[in-house]
Amino acid sequence: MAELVANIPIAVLMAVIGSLVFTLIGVVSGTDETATIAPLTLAVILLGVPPAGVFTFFLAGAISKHMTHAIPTMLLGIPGDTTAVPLLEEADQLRALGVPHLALRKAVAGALVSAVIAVPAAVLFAWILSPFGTLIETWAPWIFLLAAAGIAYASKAKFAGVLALIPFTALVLGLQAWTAGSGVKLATSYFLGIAIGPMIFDLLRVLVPANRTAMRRAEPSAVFLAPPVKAAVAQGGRRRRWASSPFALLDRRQVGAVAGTSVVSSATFVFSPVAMTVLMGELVRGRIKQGYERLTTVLTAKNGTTESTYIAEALIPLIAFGLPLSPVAAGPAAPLFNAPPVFSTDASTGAHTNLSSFLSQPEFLVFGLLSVAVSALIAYPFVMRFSHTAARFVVRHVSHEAIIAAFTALVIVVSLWEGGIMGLVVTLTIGVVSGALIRALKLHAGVLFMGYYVAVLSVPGIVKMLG
Amino acid sequence: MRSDPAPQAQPEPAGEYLFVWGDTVVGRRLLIGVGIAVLGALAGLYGGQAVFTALLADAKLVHVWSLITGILGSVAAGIVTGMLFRPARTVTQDATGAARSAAVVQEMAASPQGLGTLEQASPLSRRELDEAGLTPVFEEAQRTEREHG
Repeated sequence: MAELVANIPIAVLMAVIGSLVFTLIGVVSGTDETATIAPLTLAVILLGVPPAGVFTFFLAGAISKHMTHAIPTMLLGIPGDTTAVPLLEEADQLRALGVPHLALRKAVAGALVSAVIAVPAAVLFAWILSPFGTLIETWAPWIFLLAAAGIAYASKAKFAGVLALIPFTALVLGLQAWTAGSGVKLATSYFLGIAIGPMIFDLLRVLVPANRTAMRRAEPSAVFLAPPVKAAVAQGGRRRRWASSPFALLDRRQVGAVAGTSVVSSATFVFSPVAMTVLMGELVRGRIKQGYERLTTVLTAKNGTTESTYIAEALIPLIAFGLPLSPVAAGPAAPLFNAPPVFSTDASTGAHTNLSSFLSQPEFLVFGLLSVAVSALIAYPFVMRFSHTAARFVVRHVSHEAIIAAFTALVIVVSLWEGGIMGLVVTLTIGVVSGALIRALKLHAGVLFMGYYVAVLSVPGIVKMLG
Repeated sequence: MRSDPAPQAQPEPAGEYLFVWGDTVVGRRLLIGVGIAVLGALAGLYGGQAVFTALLADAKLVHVWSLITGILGSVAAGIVTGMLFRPARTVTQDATGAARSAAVVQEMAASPQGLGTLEQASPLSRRELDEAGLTPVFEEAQRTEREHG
């Protein structure tokens, strides 16, 4: 208890920093979670920030990003990040109805309600699963294999996704053997390669003359920026307030839909956040009779699910197993499990010294709720007050060339930093292959993150088991 | 940072734009942006490494700080590219037309769940529709749906 109290100042400070940074990053469309959250969390860990601060930086950052990612999605019709893609259909229809700002406020209110529910729900599910932790650790190699195959089959690629895992895993194993020959061990380079794969693939594709012809456009892309709505219809005339309560923006049925989908999606922690977001939307869709209310409720529940899946998929593997047994734990939260020399998870034995070794269950709950509270004080009012200004700034002043430049530089920095020229070669190789698989086979990055873990956890574990 | 309210993309010859990673870019600008990215990354990573090697004795700390300076170099590359090139996109802020609203309501009516009735909506949803001026659009669609079965 004394240690928990002593860690509160650093936890608050890092939550504020994480929330501020990712509130701003979230506004920029296309900023993938893994490509942004993982490297910055890694830097925070390696700087020696105490575990409580690392956790609140990560969680407040993820929660804040999933609030502000709604800004480009609702106002511009461009997904803010990967999990925002399933929101586009409802966002487009509500934009067409002329109420995008109302949609935005409802989506963000749903995110806040969902985050408040998901933290205790995830801790509860982790507590239920904890007694099976040792058993699960023993069987982890097989569980990873089954989870990877299940996640691949649940993607749009279906059975082709499961088959594609075989060459992808073989590629990772081959690259690992190649770098190990020179004493180089890589982790973040793989995550970044997978996350930024589609961009790397497109940059390569544009160099091919025949492709370039197909990629040419006579006109620049046209973006419709929804005009600001004069009346804040759901705020009951209290427009001068800093930010409305989520309960003023959502009716009882909408709060119920968000609460229900948050709990369900917190329990299903091994599935991809994008798949769960789609699934929860469909679950709600069939239950609302009136068209407009159905649209706003589905949107609210979907954005809530982007929060709950991220929170649960990070918390449950940390608390119950100490192993990255979910797409989020294997992707954006990967540095919480593997950030040598601070955190490590042994591939062959399942032994680990990672964030789970330093924080207790009550600490995860308290610091988790603290992260939600800080995001509610920073990202939530930011969306309510400055969403239109922020969206207008991004669409008018931030060129796509600038976004590509920043991510290209990030790929170079992280891979060179981790493994020198070998790191760069690995990131480019994984990036090109991942981009091709994502584009051609409609796989999502979560499948490939699991493929990476099959290579580093399942294969050595199974080989050892089989003698 | 520029503060002009609505910089629009300059007209380019036909086919000058390329659709890359979800948005349009100008090929030459993309090439320069990638060049700036390489410079920013290397300057941030190895420049930071050189500076902190001179300042700190601990090699591990130098390694960590070089990652931080590298990330800052990446952000700087993005900012410099952003300052050099305006977005290759056009922005419109036209108010939504009534025809577009009606089309969306028709899409809802044609969906498997149907349009439903305004009476089935919560008081909050009905207030939102009223204040957005959409109630007549839904009433009209409901009427049409009733008349055509």
